[in-house]
Amino acid sequence: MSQTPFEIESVREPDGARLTLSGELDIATVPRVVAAVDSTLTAGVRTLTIDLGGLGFVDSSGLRMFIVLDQRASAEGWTLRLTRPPKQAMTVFRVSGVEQNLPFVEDAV
Amino acid sequence: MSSDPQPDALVEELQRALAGSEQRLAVILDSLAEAVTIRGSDNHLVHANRAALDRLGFSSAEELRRADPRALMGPYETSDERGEEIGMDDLPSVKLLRGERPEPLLLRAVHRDTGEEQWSLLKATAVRDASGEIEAAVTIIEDVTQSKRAALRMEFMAQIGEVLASSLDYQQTLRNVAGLAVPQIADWCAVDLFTEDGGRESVAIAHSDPAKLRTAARLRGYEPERLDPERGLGLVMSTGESQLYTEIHDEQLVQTAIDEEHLRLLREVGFRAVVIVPLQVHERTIGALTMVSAESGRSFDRGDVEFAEQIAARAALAVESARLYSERSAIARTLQDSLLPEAIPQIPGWELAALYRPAGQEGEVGGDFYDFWELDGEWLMVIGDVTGKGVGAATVTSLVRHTARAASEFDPRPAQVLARIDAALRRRPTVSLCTALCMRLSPRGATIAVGGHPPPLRVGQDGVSELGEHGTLLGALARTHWPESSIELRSGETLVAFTDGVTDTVGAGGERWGAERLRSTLAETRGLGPAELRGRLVKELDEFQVGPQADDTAVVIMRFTGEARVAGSGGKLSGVGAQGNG
Repeated sequence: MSQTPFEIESVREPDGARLTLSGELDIATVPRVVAAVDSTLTAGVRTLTIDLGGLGFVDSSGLRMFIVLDQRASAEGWTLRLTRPPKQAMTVFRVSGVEQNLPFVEDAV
Repeated sequence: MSSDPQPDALVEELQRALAGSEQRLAVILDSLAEAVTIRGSDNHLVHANRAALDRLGFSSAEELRRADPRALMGPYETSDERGEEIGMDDLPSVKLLRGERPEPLLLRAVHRDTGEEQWSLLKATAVRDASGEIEAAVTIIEDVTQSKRAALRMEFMAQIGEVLASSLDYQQTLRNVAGLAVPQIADWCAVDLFTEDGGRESVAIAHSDPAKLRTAARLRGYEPERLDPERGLGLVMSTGESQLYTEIHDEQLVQTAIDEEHLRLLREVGFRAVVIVPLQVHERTIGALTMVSAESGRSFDRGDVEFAEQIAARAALAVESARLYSERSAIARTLQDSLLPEAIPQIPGWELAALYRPAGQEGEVGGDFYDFWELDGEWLMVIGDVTGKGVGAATVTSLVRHTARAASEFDPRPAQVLARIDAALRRRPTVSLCTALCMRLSPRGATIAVGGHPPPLRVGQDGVSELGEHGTLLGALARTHWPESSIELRSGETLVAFTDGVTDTVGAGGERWGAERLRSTLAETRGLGPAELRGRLVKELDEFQVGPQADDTAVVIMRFTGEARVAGSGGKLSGVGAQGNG
């Protein structure tokens, strides 16, 4: 099991933007996602979809990041959507009781 | 040898041979910056150019010719690069005249009276007569004092760099610096640190000869409590300016000496020159570096002062960073200690062990914690993981720990304790998240509530199984749910509570240790007591881990030894939950 490099792909969508994450989301890679979210919002995007489909691993800092992003979205008046969480990530969300607290959506793509 | 009449005749012959061109040759030679000497086969110097005469201290070539060649080296201590003594017979020109093929010689000469040090590179070439016999040797003497010193200093600074980087124990570092300075830079080297109240602490004193160190130790007994701000070390302390002493007369020693024995010791040192430079941090003088030249006989000059200042600047930096580091470590340790129980308690019916390994540098406070406390004859245990590190995380950890203890006074049910922690975290101005597992230990078993934390494992005869039910992460979520489970345990069964740092430990290829490895390790080690199991886990994690530890790691191991009142594998007895207001 070799570690795939962490990557963020950013795509504009008709109603906003989509960030597709792949690799391991942990204390080392969280700041990159936050930076990508910030620059997307700066560009005027109001609806942000984060695609978790390619994430091999999410740790507690990744979990915290999603909670903070969700709170920021409410406070700053933009919409966050999370989609396609893989099994390991879903276990982390379920164990934390975060599952029903985060804005998961079925993927429209 | 010089009384042999034949050499005189040879010299005359050589002079005749050079006759017509001698005048021109002398002019050419005098224009060279390098010193050039011509040695006849009788080993007398027959000619020297202006630069050579200056170096040897003669006013004319005639005067030189008349001198005894052996006496020429008399005023100097001469040695080669390795410090081996060099006599006249070792000079390249003399070797050449003896029929050898000498290598160039790097010669160190220290003037016995002035202490001036010179490095010269001597290269000899043969002058042959018509029959091919060597009749004279021409030596070109290049003054390489500056470049040799620069090279030595660069080499020394490189070594100092290694020494300074090698240890965070600054006292040891300063001792290493002093040790490195002798004998290549000075005969003695000492480092003193000044204390806040104007005193001083002798941290290091070095000499290459241990017998001399005993003299130093005896001399130290004569040092005054207070430094005289007008002289020596005291002057450096009060002014922060370097001091160079190149003339140290016996009267000064007599003045300094307190008694006869003191004077004897001072004379024994044989001071030739002293350099004292300050150790400064942000323009504050924290100490001084002293270099003494004694038996080597060489003096010090401004260049040596500057060099000593460079060494002192680096040493001061090492002292300061070591001090900051130890202060930071001490603060972190204190803070960390305040977040963990002072000792694992003795709980009737239970045997306990705990493991705590903060990630990162020593001096950082981890975000993992655990705690045990007694309440009306029962015990509560909480283990958790606060997001983040450092002082911020420590503040949250402290809040969680104290809230848990206080909350249990009102309602000792683990789910209620978690609900109180959640409420306390929500009141914080910034998002403060925490996972926690709260357990109430009784003489029969345990009651468990989990808040976003890995559930504890039970290790028993039936293998390894997960206990409790998942509950919500603490601190931020709108919809919360903390189910509570009561577990009955059999004697000998062990509960293992841990943080995700354990299972998230990164091994080769980025692979995580994972829940499966933890479970299989626990299955294999069934029957081990808590302390042995703890050791085994440390070993397994150490073996698996590649690179620095990424996350804090905490494990609490609880073996139930009390009588089980109710047989059975246990299970959820009560579904009492604590529901947050969503």
